[in-house]
Amino acid sequence: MSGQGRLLDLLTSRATEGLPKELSRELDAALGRQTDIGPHDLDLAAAAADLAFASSASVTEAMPADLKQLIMQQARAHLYRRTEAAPTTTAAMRKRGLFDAAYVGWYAAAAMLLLALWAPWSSGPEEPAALPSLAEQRELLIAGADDVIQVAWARPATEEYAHVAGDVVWSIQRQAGFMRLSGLPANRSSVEQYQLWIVDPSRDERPIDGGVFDIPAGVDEVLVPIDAKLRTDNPTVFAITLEQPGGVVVSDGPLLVVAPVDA
Amino acid sequence: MKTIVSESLLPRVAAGDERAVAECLDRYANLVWSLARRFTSDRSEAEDAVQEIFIELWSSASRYDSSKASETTFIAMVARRRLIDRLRKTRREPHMEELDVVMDLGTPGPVEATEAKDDAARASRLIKTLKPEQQKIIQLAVYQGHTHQSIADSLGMPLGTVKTHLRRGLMRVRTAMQEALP
Repeated sequence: MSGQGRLLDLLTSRATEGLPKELSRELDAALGRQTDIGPHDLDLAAAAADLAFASSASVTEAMPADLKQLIMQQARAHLYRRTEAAPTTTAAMRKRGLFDAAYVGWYAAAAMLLLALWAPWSSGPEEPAALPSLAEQRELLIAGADDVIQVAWARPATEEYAHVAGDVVWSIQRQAGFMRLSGLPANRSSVEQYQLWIVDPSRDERPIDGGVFDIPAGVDEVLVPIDAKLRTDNPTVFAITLEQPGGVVVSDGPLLVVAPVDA
Repeated sequence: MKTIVSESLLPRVAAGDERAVAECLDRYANLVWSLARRFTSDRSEAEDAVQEIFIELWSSASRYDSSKASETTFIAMVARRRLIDRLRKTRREPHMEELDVVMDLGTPGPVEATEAKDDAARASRLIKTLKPEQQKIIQLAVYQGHTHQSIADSLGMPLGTVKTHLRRGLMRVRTAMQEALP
């Protein structure tokens, strides 16, 4: 079979029944050698054909409302992780009394600011899905998932972190979770950032990157969505380090606080 | 027939516009959920899958190229890729209609009232020009999610013939989509 024929066979297989890893690698190499066909052309053609059949079948099932709400929560958490609000914004909002829940911190402030911005646009019959705060998302996760792990931060040995308190919640099924933190010293995000690590021995010897975050000055308690970079099915320890801005791939820094999961 | 052209949401999603995210979910939730339910009979698996699909979609929104396909087709592609991968890993045939059912593509459905109309309608028109045997193979593989081998076994056809029909059929759909591009 010619190189072009083999390439089309692989693209057809990927678009219709999927490819094992070794054939995916072969496809990637083949795509790098020729330019006549786009890497996604047959996937798009299969999607269009699928839509054509689906259109004729006229079978559309509405997504359950609770699932839709959960996906919206996950989307907000995803976007918040990409959004950096200045601590001064938080301070200004606190002065205005825009929130007063004891454990809602910096991220929740950003959520409320966005909710306030949202309000003028959300009236009318085509109102988009309601957007709960991170605190509400956390509560919904705890209430809605039947596999939530909830563990407290262990009392650290070092003086600087001796007052850290809070907990971690994580749902394996939903691959979502939150850290609740108080007493963690504020960091200068231009110099260093906190980074969460998740130890999952069933996956890898190296801890999984759980995302970087900041603790702004003057905030008592912070709620941070966990941004696990890999699927985490068997977490045994959640740990926080202080790293360079943006975080690191492999940490050699000391574990500042940890939350062990009981076996 | 009146064509309704919807505003593309993915560029705004890629820019971090939260309102666009909500609108995108409102617009495409049922499409993605229907795909997931068609690919798996296990409701909890479908729920897991659609969460993965949308997380991937938020991350990959910047990859959408309106010169290649409609937004609906792109989202269906992202969803299909994820669902096919999950299906392949579990090594199960999807829970779908019987193999001998051949759908009539002559009846326009709801999707033709959306901006997916262009791609899906073109695909529909193109597929209708193919031989019935080829139409059936494309339907079984693309819409019903059967493996090439199971189609060959069920139809008593050489595996190579099934692959050839699929490849040629998808290439023709691809050509029809590209001919319509500006």
